Parts: sequence; structure tokens; C-alpha cells
Amino acid sequence: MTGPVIEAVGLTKRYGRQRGVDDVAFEVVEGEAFGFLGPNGAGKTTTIRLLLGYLRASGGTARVFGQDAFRDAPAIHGRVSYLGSDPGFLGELTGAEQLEYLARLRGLARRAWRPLTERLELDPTIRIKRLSRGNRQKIGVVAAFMGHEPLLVLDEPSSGLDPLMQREFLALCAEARADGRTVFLSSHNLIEVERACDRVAIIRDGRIVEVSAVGDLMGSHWRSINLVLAAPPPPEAFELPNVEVVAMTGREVHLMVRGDVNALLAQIATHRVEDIAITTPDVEDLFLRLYRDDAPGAASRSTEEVPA
Amino acid sequence: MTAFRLELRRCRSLAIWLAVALAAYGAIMGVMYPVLKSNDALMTEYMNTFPKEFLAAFGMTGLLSDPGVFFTTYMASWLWPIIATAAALLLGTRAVAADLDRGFLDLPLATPISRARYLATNIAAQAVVLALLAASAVLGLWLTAAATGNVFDLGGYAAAGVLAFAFACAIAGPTTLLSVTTLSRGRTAGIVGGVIFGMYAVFVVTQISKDWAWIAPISAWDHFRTTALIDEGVVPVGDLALFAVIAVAGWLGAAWAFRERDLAA
Repeated sequence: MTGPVIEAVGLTKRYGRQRGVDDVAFEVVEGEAFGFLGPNGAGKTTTIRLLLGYLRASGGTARVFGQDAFRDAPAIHGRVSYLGSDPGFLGELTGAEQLEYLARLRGLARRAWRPLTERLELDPTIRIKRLSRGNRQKIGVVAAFMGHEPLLVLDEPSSGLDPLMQREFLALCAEARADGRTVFLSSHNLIEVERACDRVAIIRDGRIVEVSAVGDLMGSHWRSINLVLAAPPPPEAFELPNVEVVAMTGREVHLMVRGDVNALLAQIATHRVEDIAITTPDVEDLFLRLYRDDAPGAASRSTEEVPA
Repeated sequence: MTAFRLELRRCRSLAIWLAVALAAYGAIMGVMYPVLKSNDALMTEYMNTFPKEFLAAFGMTGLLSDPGVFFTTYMASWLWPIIATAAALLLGTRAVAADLDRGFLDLPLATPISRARYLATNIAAQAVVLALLAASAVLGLWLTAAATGNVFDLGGYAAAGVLAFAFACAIAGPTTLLSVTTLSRGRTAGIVGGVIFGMYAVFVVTQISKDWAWIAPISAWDHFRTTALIDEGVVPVGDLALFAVIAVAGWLGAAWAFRERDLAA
């Protein structure tokens, strides 16, 4: 495979007057884990349905393994393992029957699911309608990872899994990558994407707002600075270029700084500092900041607390 | 075959219960047949108190003891259309509209099976179940009548079973097409139920009032004439062909629409 595994160019989907996604563009290369972040309703699932050929694009192109996502869907699906956010398994089947059905349609060996049900401690003999949501989601995880297709498309795969199983899920993702498989992981779980992915695209209101390496997004662009000063500073004390005042409560100041930090350090030095903590913002800080940029009242965010 | 086997499995309960209901009803009617036959003159005298047109509207166009009239009156004119419509709605709307709504459809369609092939497995399962139900409708009555010493012409009854099957398929084909185009089980059921009821009303009206006879061909009941088929051996080739064309056109249209359309729940 020489070209990208997934290639979206100007991908647009409209439902009448309603927006689906607009001018979405990104590439996923072979062997990488690509995160797709966005809140509910941002267009994540619509993008995935376009990539899997469930929806026909209103504009632009979606290509997977160099083939047209809609027209060549069956051929593409032979090389893709997909797990939807809320798979509607048939309640009257047992887990084993459901997994065997999917395994056969995918041309996998009989009982290909067996090692994973044991690993995830899932009893496959129970009818699905009697399983908890978490155990149903385990069936989805088993279905996604039981084959060896070169591309995994996972749409909010760990929702409903307990923390131990989420860790197991991340381990499965890592093993898939070690096998050279490509992972496309859609999520609003920031920690999950941070741990599993190399690059991330952030989608908001149907548009991609940023595509970047996870490390770049979290590290080189922004720093979080928490100060405790000897006396409360004047409100305008840290109104500097590239500096964002996240919160200022009495003597405590929470700042975000991007790029050159010298001007800020010089300003800090004019105050008596009792404590300082400089950290890389976690992806959640980043996410909230990106989502607030155009929100009404964004200018007043200096008085708001951003959860860490 | 995997998808087809699962389709059949998912139809199992529906098929068994409807088949048992049809066979049981047919058996009850079959047990009643000797009573009707031994009281033929009395029954005829009673029936003559009703206008002929009124009786024709319910399939009674001769002696009730005639095997064809008996089958038409007690099975073909009311129970079979109801069961066939119910089965066609449940089966024809499940694979796309219902399974998309419940989130199941994404699973098989994420595998290398094409949409058209996947729908074809559902259509094949529809045909198998409708054939089973048609056989139950005919055999329950025929076997019980035979057990009471009244052996009807098996060829005539088998042909009536084939016509009943074709009638049901002619409902199932367009139902499947509507299910794919609307992606809604409720809307499909409303439209199909309304059309079927409308066609029955048209048939009743056209039998009662000859002024409206010209409109009769738009009703499926006008093409579902089992009396002449059983009692006179008249094979309604044209009606069979008409049902077959409607069924196949509906199913092919559904496969084409399914291949081309968006799947957004």
C-alpha cells in the first residue's frame, strides 16, 4: 500500500438543509493510529458512515485503500473491521452465535472469537438480551479484534466498558498497531485518544478544526501555568500576547501560554511568587479551549474555571 | 448461506406460529365440512335469502359444499389475505427498516457481503416462509377433510396454494420496496395496510354494484379467484403472472434502491 489508507477530500454530507459534515479533509497512513475527536453531534459518526459507504457523499471524496468508499464498499469491507458506537446485536442470539455469524460473513476461521472472549472474561453462551451494556460492548470489541483486517474503524468503542476493560481495549489497540494494522478511533474520550493515537483530527460543527500529532497538540503549543502570588495581582496583569487567563481567584492565577514565554516570565517576575507549576495541558484542557474559541461569551472566559 | 440461515432462524417463530394458526383453522373448517355437506339443501335455502351480489363479495358464488367455494369462503377470501399481509409486513420490513432502526444492519453490511446480496437472502427467506404458510393454509383443510372421508382434488388445492403463495409474494415485493425507500416500518405498514384494505373494499363494492365493475381489476381479490381454479380446473395463468411480476418488480426495485440509498437511521 503506497497511498493513504483513508483519504477524505472536501468530504461533505448534507441532509436537506441540515448539516452533516462540511469540507472534511484528512489522511490516515498505513500503520498509524488516528484519533477522531469531537463532542456528540459534531459529525464523527457521519464521517465514519461516509467512510464505510453507508452514506453517499453530497460532495468531495472518501477513499479507503484507494477505492471509492460508497461504490466499492463490499471490497473495502473485506479489509476493514468496524465497531459502531451502539451495535444492535440480536438479543435472541447468544454471544457465540452472534460472533460466529459475523466471523463467517467476514470469512474468518470457526471460533475465531474464542481467545478474545476468554481474555475479556465474556461468557459467550449467554443470550445477548440478558447481558449488561458493558458485556454487550465487550462482544463488539471481540467482533472488532477477532479478525486480521488491516484497518480497524472504531466508533466510540469503549463506552460502557469498565476501567479494567478500557485498559484491555487500549492493549488490544496497541497489539493491532504492533501487527502493522491501521487504527481509526473515533471518540470523545480524550484520555483514550491520547493513549492510543499518534495523530488526531478534531471535528466541530461538522468541520475539521485541527489535524495534528497528539504530542504536538498537547505539548509544543500550549503550557499550563498555575501561580500562587503573595498578593492578588491587578486584573490586567497578565493580558499579554499568547497568554490566556483561564482563572484568577485572589492570589491564585491559572494561565495558558502558547509560543514564546519570555514576556510572560518577565511579567511574573514583577510579582512575588509563592508557588509555580508549569505543566503540559492535558488533552481535555486543549479540547475545551478549542471548543470555546467561537462560543458566545468566549471573551469572558478569563473568569471561568477550566477543569483540568 | 450464513446470512440466509440466520434470516430463516429469525423467521422461525413467526413462521411456525402463523403456520400452526392457519393449519388449525383449516382443520376446524375441514371437520365442519361433513356437517355443511349433509345439510347442503338447508344451507342453500338459507344462503338464497341473501342477495347473490352480497354473497359474491365474500367469495360465496356457488354451493358451500363445493370444494372451491368452501376453500374460497373460509380461507382465501379473508384469513389468508390477513395472514399473508401480516407476514409480508413483518418479513418485508425487517431486513432494512427494522434492522437499521435497531442498529443491527450496520453489522452484516460492514462485512464483504454486498447490500443487494444481503437483501436477497432476506427475500429468499420471505419466499420460503410464505410458501410454508400457503402450504399450511391448503394442507390443514385438505388433510382434515380427507380424514373425514371427503377427499378434495389435490391438484386443484395445490394450484390454489400456488396462487395463494403468488398473492402473498405480490404483497411482500412492494412491501420490501417501501421498506427500503421509507426506512420506516410504521409508514410501510400504514401504506400497505391501507392499500390492501382499499383493494378489498373495491372488490366488495364491485361485487355488490355492477356499475363499478370496471374498477374491479385494480383489486388483488379480482385476481385471486380460487373457486374456479378448484371447482372448474381453470388455471389463472394471467393472474399468476400478474402477481409474479408485481412481486419480482418489488423485490428487484428494493434491491436496486437498497444498493443506491443512504443508510441513516
